[in-house]
Amino acid sequence: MGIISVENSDRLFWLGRYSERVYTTISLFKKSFDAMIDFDEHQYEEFCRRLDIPCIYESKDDFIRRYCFDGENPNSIYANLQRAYDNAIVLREEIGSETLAYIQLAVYEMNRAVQSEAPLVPLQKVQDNLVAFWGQADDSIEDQLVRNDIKIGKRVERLDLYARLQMNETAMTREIHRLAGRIENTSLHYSKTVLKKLEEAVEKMDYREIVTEVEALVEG
Amino acid sequence: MKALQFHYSMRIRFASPVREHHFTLRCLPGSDERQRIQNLSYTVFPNEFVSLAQDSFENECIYGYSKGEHDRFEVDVRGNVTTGLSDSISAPREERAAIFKYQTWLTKPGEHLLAYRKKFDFPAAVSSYDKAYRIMEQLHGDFTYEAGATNVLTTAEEALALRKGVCQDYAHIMISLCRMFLIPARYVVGMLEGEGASHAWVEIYDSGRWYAFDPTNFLTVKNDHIKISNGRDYKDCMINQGVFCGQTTQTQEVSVVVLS
Amino acid sequence: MVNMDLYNQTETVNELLARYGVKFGIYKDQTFKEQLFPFDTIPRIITNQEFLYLEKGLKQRVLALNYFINDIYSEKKIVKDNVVPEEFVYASSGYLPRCEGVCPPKGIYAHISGIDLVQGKDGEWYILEDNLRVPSGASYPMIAREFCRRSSPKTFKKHHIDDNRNYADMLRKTMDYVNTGGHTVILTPGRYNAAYFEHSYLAEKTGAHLVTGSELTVENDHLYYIDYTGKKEPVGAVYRRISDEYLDPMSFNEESVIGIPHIYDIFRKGNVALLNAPGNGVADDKGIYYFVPKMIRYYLDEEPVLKNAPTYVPYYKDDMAYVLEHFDNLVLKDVAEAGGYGVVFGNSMSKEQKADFIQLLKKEPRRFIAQEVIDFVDIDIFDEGKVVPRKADLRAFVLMADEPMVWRSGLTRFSRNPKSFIVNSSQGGGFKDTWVLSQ
Repeated sequence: MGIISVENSDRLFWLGRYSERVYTTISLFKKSFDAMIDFDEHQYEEFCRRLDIPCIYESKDDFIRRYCFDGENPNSIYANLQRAYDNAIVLREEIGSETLAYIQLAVYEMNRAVQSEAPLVPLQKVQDNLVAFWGQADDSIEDQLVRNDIKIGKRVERLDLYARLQMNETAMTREIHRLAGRIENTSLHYSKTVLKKLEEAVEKMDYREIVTEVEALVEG
Repeated sequence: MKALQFHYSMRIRFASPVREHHFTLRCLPGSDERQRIQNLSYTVFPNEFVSLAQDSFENECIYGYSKGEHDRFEVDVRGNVTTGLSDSISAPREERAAIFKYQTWLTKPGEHLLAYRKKFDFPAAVSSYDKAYRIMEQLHGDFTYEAGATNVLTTAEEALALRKGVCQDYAHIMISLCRMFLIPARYVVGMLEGEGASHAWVEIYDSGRWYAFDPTNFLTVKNDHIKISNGRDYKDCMINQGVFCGQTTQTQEVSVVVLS
Repeated sequence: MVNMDLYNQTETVNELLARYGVKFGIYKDQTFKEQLFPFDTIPRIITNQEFLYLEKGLKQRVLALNYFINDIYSEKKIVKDNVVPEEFVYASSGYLPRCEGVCPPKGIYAHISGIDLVQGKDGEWYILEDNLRVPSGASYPMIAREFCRRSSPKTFKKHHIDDNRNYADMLRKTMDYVNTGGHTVILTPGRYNAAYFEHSYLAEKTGAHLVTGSELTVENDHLYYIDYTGKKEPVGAVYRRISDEYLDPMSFNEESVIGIPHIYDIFRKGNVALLNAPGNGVADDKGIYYFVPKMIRYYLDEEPVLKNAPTYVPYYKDDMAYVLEHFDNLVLKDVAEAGGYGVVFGNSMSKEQKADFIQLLKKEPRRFIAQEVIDFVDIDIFDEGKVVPRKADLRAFVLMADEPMVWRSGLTRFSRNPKSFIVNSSQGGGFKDTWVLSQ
């Protein structure tokens, strides 16, 4: 133990990013879905604007189907969960079967959600499994580097999403501290210069700059 | 007996740089009963990692790896050889020669070779050596040396259909025919006195000894041939085998100088 | 029924198998799909006494097979003494000329063998096939046992069943025994391989690193795993789950992009152990199978404990005559094919097919073997709520370290189709746990 290849280091990071992306976008989607039931049929346009993704959807039903469940749409929650799975499945011996199982279960729940008339219930279970995944990872992965690679992936993604969603200063500051405090203890190749710029961007609350720097932080 | 000195050189130019280059070179002649090698020296470029190894046909190989980018690959081998110390090489264990009775995809007969085989009608008492000589004689008469008609992956069957080719094709056809008569036959790569490229010929097994025939020049090998390697066919004896990363084209120049 | 409690947990156990991603991959219409491997809770039960007999026969067989492979790539005494005809060796697709003259670490060629057996209605066990190249399947009963115990503890309290979860320890011991110094890795072709689950699970359970070819490199006669810092960690043992031809583009198939260039050169020098050693397919060729009992007598000077299925080799005149006479009662196998392919039953052919086949048989007698159709014991399975009998075989795993070890379990595969004799997982079907009773 204790040796990680560049490939696995990269996969751990992206496993963290995609699991976080799925988790947070489901939370946002839930609010949007609720509003669209009987309140605002076009709420999804606002949703896309906030997340800075192309609004290619024709109607609320089209949005629900394609944004949430269409594996062919690279921005869909489904596609992002699939990417999390693609990274996790090749990391069994790094993260352990117990931890991997929660990503597998999230995939099963997502497939259930695709079939469902009331997708928020199975989507909640997708989220439950992601939370369990993080908990299990934290609890059972002995190798600190492995744990931290996933966590930093998660932090990087969250900072990126928060910046896009223009979250308040308290939230942004909290996230940058969590990121900066841990990134050194990972196997990731990152740029100290970029980290510094990122910290400055958060101080200035320059959302555009944060998004740019956060994407440049980890190489590879 | 003859004292020869040789210089083998290969120059490859890549149009654009390559990296992660793994190579195996079968270009080091070894001493045996027929030839004695002295003052052998070699250089390889690039040479980040270079080792020596022996393959399953007991050929000496230089193998190595160059990770970084490079746009040329160069090999030079020099040495002195005394040839003609014997007319053959002993092979005491017949069961080890048996593998050379089996065709490979380069020597596998098709309709042309099967038909050609009918030209030979050997009485039972004829030795393998004499059969091989007959095959060489017949082939030399029916086949024309012509560069460019075939390539390195042309099979014996295809070459025979064309009735023309180079030393590799002569060797493959002769090997295929010998094997059809259950004579163990192997492919040999080496150098010939004079200036030019590498050469290929054949060794056949008879009563515990390997005898060398050069079907291209219609002669039995004596003093003018320096053997480098042997195997079942061309593929076992490739002088330069490599894999690398990079989209490129390459040009290769080989020069062999053997002087007495 | 004795194990009703476990039967009632069928769904629970299969849900747990799904939870942990216990799957195998298949290619359908050229796309990769992962499938669950259906598990049947009715175990195959082997008594301790019966297993001791099997164990004796399996150890003997694997020892003889190892002697044979060593002999073939060095002295060739068995060929010289005319026990195995030369052409069965040299014309076999498993014989690799590149392996000539190589002595693997500790002289072991077949470290992990999967020997397929069936039990005849007469109670006799027959060897169907030796799988020495990259046999798979041990992980399935190993993990299924875990979930059966979880789902039905009282079943395991009541019966005295040997624990089979020691497979990882046995495998680790086998890998460590030949390790030449350095890390132990499991080399996988990648996640789109049929047995990827097994590769990753065995890596986790043995503590070996799961790697792909691109993570390893040969430099200066040694094999290294490259760390994220660029540091080179020496590797001393590679349990490779990729086939011989793709292992090293410099020695085998030059088109291979999943192999490690020059790994075979350093193996030849004794600087790394490869499990299983390349070239060992010469001993699991269907044509060579016929000669295994002769090998046991030749190398060990012992009578074979376990029988082959009655086999005929049309290469021999007498056998050809027998095959032609009893064609309809025999199963014919193309020696070059694996995985349940290239197997035909004499009685299933039409008149024209039969005539064509016999013509081919006469033209290429060495290409085929013929076997009596063994009337093997059916095993109960649960099918849509009912207990029904189905064909099943047993893959026993024999691991070779300082001495052969037989895993006290095995993979029992069954065919769901009541008419089918073919139980290969790539052709549908499911699996069972194999219980060896400790008393």
